[in-house]
Amino acid sequence: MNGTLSGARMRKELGKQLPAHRITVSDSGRFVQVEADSAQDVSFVVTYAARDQAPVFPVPAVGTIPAVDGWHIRLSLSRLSTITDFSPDSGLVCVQCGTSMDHLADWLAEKGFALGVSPEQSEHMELWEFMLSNASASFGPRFGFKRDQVLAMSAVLPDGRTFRNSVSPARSTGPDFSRPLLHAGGRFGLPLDLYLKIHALPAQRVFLTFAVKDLAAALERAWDVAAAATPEFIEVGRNRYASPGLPERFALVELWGEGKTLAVRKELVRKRFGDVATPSDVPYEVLLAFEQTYNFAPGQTRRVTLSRDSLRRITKDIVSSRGSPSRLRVRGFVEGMVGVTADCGDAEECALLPPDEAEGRASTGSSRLLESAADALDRSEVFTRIPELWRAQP
Amino acid sequence: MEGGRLRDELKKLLGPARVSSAPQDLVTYASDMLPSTQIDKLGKALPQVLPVAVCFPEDVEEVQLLLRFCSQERVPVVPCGAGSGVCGGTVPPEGGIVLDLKRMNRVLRFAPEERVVEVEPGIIGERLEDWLNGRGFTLGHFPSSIACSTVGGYVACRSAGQYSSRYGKIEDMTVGLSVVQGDGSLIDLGILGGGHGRDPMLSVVLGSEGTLGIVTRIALRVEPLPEMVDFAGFAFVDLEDGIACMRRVMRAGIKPTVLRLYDPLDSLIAGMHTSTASGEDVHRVASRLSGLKGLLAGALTDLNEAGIAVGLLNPSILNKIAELMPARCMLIVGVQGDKATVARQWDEVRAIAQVCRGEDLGPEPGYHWFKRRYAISYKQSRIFAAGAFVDTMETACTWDNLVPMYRAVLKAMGREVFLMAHFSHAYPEGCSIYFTFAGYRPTARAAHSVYKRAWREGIEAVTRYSGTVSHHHGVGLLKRWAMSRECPGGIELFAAFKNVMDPDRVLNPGKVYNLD
Ligand SMILES: Cc1cc2nc3c(=O)[nH]c(=O)nc-3n(C[C@H](O)[C@H](O)[C@H](O)COP(=O)(O)OP(=O)(O)OC[C@H]3O[C@@H](n4cnc5c(N)ncnc54)[C@H](O)[C@@H]3O)c2cc1C
Repeated sequence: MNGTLSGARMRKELGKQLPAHRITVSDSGRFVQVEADSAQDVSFVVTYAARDQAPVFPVPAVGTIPAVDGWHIRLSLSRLSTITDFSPDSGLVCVQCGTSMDHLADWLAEKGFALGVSPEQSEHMELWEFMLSNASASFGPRFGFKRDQVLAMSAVLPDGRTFRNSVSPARSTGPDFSRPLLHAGGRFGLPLDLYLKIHALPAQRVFLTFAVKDLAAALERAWDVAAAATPEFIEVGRNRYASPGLPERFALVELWGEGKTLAVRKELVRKRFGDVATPSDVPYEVLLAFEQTYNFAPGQTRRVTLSRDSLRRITKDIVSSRGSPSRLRVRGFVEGMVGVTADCGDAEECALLPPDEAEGRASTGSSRLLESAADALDRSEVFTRIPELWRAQP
Repeated sequence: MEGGRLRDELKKLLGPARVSSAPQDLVTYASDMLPSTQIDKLGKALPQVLPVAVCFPEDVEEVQLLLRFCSQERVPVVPCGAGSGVCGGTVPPEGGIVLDLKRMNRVLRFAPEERVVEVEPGIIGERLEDWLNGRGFTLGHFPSSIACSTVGGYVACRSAGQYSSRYGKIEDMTVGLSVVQGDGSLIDLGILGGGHGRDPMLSVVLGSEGTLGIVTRIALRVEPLPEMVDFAGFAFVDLEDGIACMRRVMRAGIKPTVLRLYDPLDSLIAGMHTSTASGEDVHRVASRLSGLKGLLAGALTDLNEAGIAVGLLNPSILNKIAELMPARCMLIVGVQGDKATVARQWDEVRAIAQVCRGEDLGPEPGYHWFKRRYAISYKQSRIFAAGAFVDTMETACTWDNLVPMYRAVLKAMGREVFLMAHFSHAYPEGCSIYFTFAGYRPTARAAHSVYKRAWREGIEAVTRYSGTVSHHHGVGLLKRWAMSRECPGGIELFAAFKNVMDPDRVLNPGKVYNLD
């Protein structure tokens, strides 16, 4: 870090391109906050930061910027919030990274579209934050994981240059660098705009609910259901505090489509669950509604992405007669991964859940390579500490 | 290191039988199927740079030994699968050694319950597919070169097979890799290293064409063989209708095994049994156009000197006539699954085709394609033998840019070469276009300059529509000049990974990105 940095100097340098009212110096916190208005602004700020070796933190809606010794730059991306391209035929929307997730969802819904994943408790996040962080999203067999929704992107690299890839559904043009850009928490660069996959809301949405006797058996069977019927959404859960008349263990399936195809898929779901899950007439919303009762108190709720093996282990060991987790929600069933939300009695019980095995989890060797490559790219250590933004998240 | 000494050292490492410096080997391994090297051969020119030796390692330890030695001595190392690449990926521009990996061809582990197979890189695609079929499984990867290409080559180039709309490209099937880095150290990625099948490092090594490491073990997702696969053909009045049909099929969430639309000219040449809107047989109409049919069909089959002179020297005229031909567009569709799934998918596809004014031609054209699906790719040598050149440009973009990009490429390249296209590898968001082009000039030098101009014009047209300059053949030497347009900023990231994985810069120098 450069010891000669000062608020006045940074204001002066940044003021060469940015209007004064978008640069705020905070003496107490030893940082300069900049409101970027365009990709060029971002690039300018990062180029300057690289030259003067000032760490840059994008300002998150949810995470907290860690303590930094010395001066740094806080870069607000909120003004980059335009939806720059909308192509219903290709099922794509190009969104600037400061757009908030709830605004994007509303905007799309108005046009009769939706994203393939929905943010869980992260509607207030901006797009860049949703994609870089470990914020969970409910994913499902039809549309895949959160980061699968990105078809193409641009990003600012740690030296201020811009990365962009072609807007193509597949390519064979060398390594795909968008993966480290999205998966490494911001170490390789900050997204500027993303082409996201979108899906027309269907003519019909069918919601199926099931009562489950044996949770472990239903979880196993859910993989078959996911593979055979490719539902848009599937969840197996347990709510020990279910109101009388509601099943304590249950499964939910959502299907989009119309006509005969939809009827066939519905039948497939029923068949594949077989006697492990019996159709229930409890409305879907009622079963879903219990989610709102999560208290999300730190230490009491955990959200993790787990592999099929780990899921097997927790269903055997953790869902015990002690009744913990009292509420458990398992979603996804994509490529051997599920998203698990568990509401435990206390922190000790929560600790019984395995650590997050995020989709795209790097092997030990990969992590080392990614780390070294990021260091090689970011010699001025401009983005080195961005991943710390996500450590505090549940 | 001087060539003779280098060969001696290599022989000490592998034994004399597995290091070759026979002139015929050096010449063979100096090029792959890059068409410009074939044009050179028309001018009777041998490759300008030859490797010093070709090495045939048999296991990962030997690859590591070689890399350790070569990085110390700063000897360039060019990995080679079967040499079927068409972009110059195995050309050794700085000499050094070529590493032929075909002896590393074992299936190392098969776990049907996990649906994973692990193989060495040198296994030929067809062998692996046969091996899996014998056990009730399929990889689902069927490139036209399946009989003459390796799994290592697929992974290195991000290859695509004919059933990609159903199974995805090779990168979608790859869940783990072991890679020998420039200094000889081995690293395990994805499930082979205890990570997830989406480990971000996999996507860095996939497509890196041997520039970041030599892939020595590959874990692939496999699927049970489908109960049945069924094919059919549909004819469309024009290209737009055919493309609309493909798009609707993909956006409806149907995952067809094959979805392949030929443009009017390619429909004709592929020998499809289409008829014009007025019911006239296209072949008859074509024949009437001053015997053009012979020339058009001949461009890819029995090319003769007269045909070349008349047609390929004046590609604009030929392209114009082709454009005016009253041919319809043929769409080949395949679906698979159990009987009920297949029936359901046909219902859905037929309903969509009807909306798009498609005529259902029944199964015959579909099975005709299926029987000949590998045939066309092997006819190129006849064109070269006749003194002309032929190449393919495979690109992709989003659905809304597809027709404009197609027309822009026809216009741009049509000034230089005679060309046609088909649309295959469809995705929910877009599709690839596979252009085949042929040209002729009486001398190799003149042919080279037409060939280069055609590529430049074509790629410029593609990038205007944000399309990719390669959907599945890779970059190699052929397209690296276009990488600054394809992926601005990519070179910075590439250099960072190169610094870490191959700091001595011995691995496949000059490919994909030019760091010099
Ligand atoms: C007739 C014909 C039809 C074709 N059809 C198709 C098609 O349908 N789909 C398609 O995708 N391609 C097709 N191709 C192109 C070609 O077959 C593919 O690019 C294939 O992936 C190359 O495999 P290979 O084993 O021949 O690789 P090579 O040509 O030997 O090598 C290709 C590149 O990969 C690198 N490489 C090879 N092995 C390794 C390894 N183990 N580790 C690291 N790097 C390595 C090489 O250095 C080189 O850069 C076709 C080619 C021909 C000639």
